Amino acid sequence: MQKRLKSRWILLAVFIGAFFLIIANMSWWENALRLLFPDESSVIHPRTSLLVLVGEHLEMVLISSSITILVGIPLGVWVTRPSGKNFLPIITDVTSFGQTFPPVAVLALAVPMFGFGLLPTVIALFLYGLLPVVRNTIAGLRAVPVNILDAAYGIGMSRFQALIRVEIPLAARVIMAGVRISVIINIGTAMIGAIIGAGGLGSPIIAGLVQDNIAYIIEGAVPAAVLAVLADQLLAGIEEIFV
Amino acid sequence: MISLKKVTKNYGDTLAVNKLTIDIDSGEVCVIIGPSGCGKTTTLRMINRLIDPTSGHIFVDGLDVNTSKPEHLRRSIGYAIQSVGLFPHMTVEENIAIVPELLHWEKNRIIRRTAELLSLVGLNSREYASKYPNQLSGGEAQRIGVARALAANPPILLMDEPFGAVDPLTRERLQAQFIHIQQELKKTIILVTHDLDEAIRLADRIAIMYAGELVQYDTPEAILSRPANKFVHDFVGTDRALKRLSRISIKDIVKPAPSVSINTPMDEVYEACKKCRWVWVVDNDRRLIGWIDRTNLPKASSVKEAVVMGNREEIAVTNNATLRETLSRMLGQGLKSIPVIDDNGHFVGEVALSSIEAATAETEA
Amino acid sequence: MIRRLVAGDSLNITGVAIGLISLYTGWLTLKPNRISSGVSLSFHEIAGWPGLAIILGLWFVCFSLSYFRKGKLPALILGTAANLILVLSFVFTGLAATRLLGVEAPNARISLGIGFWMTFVATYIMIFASRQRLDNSPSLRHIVSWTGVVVLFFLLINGWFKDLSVLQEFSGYEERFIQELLHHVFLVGISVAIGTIIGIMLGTWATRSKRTEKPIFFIANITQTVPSLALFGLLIAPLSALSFTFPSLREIGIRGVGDTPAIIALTIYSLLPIVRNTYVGLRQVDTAVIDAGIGVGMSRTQVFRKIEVPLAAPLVLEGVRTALVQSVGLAAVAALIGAGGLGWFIFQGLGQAATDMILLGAIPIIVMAIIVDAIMRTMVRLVTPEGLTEGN
Repeated sequence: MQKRLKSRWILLAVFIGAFFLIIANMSWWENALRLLFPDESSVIHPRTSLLVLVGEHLEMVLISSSITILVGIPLGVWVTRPSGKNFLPIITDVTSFGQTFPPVAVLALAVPMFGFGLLPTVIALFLYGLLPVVRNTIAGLRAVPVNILDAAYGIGMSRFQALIRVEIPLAARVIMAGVRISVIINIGTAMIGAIIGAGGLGSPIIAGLVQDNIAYIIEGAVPAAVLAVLADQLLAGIEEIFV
Repeated sequence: MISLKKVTKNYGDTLAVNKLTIDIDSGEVCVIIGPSGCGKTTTLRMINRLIDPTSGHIFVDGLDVNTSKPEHLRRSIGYAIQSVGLFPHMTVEENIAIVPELLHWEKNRIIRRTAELLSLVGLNSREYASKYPNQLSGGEAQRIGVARALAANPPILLMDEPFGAVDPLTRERLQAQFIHIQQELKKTIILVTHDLDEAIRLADRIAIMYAGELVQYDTPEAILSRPANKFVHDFVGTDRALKRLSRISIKDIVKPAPSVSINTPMDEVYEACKKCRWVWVVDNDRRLIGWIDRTNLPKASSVKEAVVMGNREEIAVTNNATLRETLSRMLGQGLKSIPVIDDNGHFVGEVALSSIEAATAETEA
Repeated sequence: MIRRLVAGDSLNITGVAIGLISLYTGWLTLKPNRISSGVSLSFHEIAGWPGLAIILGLWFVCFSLSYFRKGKLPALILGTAANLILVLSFVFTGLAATRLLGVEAPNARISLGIGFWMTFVATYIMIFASRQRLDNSPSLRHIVSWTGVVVLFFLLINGWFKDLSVLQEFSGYEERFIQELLHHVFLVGISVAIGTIIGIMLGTWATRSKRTEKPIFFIANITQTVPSLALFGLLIAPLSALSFTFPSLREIGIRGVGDTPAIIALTIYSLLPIVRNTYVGLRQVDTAVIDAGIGVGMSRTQVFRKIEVPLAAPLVLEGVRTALVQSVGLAAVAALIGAGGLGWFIFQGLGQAATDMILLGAIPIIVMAIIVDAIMRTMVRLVTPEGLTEGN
């Protein structure tokens, strides 16, 4: 790996390490908040520790993103194959159309169907996260130059071999970009999941809004912002590994 | 041995290939040529089943190509296209190794084969093996494309305008290399091109197609001297006599000619000049260095004064040059005879315009 | 033969299949009151056998049209049938709701069930399928796409569906709804307006000065990554402190929670799409074209006005479109920090576990986002100079 690249990864690792270190040490956090908000009687949301909240948040995002990838990429592949090409126009339409839907609305609509708690949140995150992944998978696969595919078939690759050895490696970067968009949106939407009882970093913020305690709000907002930025940088780094 | 029997391809209402029947012998270079839309590329792609014919049969070594899975068929047929289509995410080595890998060759064998092929196409294996396609020039990429096509040592090679996407100088070199490789390997090659000169230079037999049909299938000499109909006649052009000349080497018509060296005494020079206007001058190694024009002799007292020096490559042709090149040089320099040198620059003899005329007349018959 | 049929028009078949299945699942749910769960009613219980027969007939028409894949007439028939199914489904449902409500206690609620939504999806698929075949006649395509929706809109306004639970909810909160709707539009409008002005300025600056390009994009990218709720939260703290220290700010309405942090956050979120698109839009104007303009004697400002602006405008408007659609959704979240807007209904509904209130908030937001998106797309098309082909 080039020197500049390596230093970037080291920096990232340092920041991620620092992040978790600070999260894990409630006392540091508490003292900092107490400094900022001397008037509040309670600065740390008593329900759970920050580490647990971060854990809940990551759990939601990771589960839904994993299912999104497992469903979305194959769907994008299928729709670009002869067997699925009848559905390509409508899926393309739905994925671009669906992105006008506010994520909040999707989350809200999941409740009447699936109740409260973790389940509707994960389902809503999965569905909404599907859109950029499918769209980018389709775009990435279709961007593979026709002559390269022709060469692949011509020298004797089966359709499956061409897909695995040529199409997907060449589309990987675009697909990864879609995954990145999907994860970042999910981190944001998962915060609102706190309202329907899914836990996560939204909880202290909601509690703070309800109880008019700004310390709680900060307790949730800062880690959430940092988490999102770190995740974005991490995924951007992974994206650049691909051609 | 490749056989196409009444092969037809329809696209809706359009007839791309019409009842094509052709037999290509093993070890033969068959060049398919014709105007745009004549069906030559379609025909080529039907042989390795990238396109399936609407009707008719294609046989490779007696076996109908439909009997095996397309990908299996294609692994025994080399495929090289104009746009090359090297996989950008793989190194040159990985690109070449792809078919052997698909055939589960053993790793060491693949590595050896890759190095072998790179030197076959004239590229340094140590230098090029780990390069990526975006680091290659057009000519290099094309050669790697051919190497990839040859990797699994297929008996048959399909090529679609393989030398099309490069500049004329590189194309010339690639064609020379092609001839050299084919002499060594003796593959059955079907090559599609729109360049008639290329066809004439490379083909054992040329198949001319027009509107999906085979119009004439014969050796280049035959096509040039006996075009089958008006279309072929117009297609090969009114300069077909000249085109024929590019098929013949001057080896047979080089005649020995007198030469003098720097130290030759003047009276011998006068003697040599009696029969012809120019006398060629060589150095002590018998390498050509210039000529003497008879009309300048009276003014000179030694060879050194009389000689007109010249760059060997500019004044002479090598002895494996074609009639066409030789004639072109003579016309360009306004000469009626031209000196011939071997690969090391040694003077071998000369070719006279009259000899070329005689040779042309022979082939006409 | 069936295999070939399915392979040939699998889209059509899928739509029909979904439509038929939906007729057997719960169409309407009858609830004794707002909160509790209720009893599921299937389609034939709602529309009776005649109604069921009509709808089945229409689906059959759709199915048989998969045999005729070419031609405008089959496509039109398909589109008409699909639109009819759509409208009739709504009509039967609305009528049934009215009928049932008359019978049941006044607190009863009738809400739409899975079957209804499946039919909705199925008709979308069918309309899409018929639209595809009408590629060559844009006018017919628009008719097929929008007739059903337009008819439904009129029926809606005339109270045909008033007894469905969502609309019952609406009638209970009519004034508040309109108030929040307008407030939502206000929040979105003002934030994107400010964001556009600042964004265009920043974007233009980034093209002119290499030094500022990196930091501008860096900040814009980071802000886009931060989750909305977190950004709201991060703004609340300083704003609260500010309004606390300077009571005069409180007077003019700038407080820690409410509209202020919402508008600031929404403005910040609008920045990236607009800055990026302005930058790209200006950059992509061929320097050769600019040179030509200067060469014929235009001043720098004239070149800017007459060449760069018209050529960059479509892209900038695309950025505004993205920002607007995004803001419609983000403004919904802002309801959590007291900024009001349609999100208020969503969160109230979630808090009370009242599905219909949730829908009353969610559906209009979705519709608003779609309408805004459509309007902006048209505007982009209008602003694109005629000579430019959209190579996207």
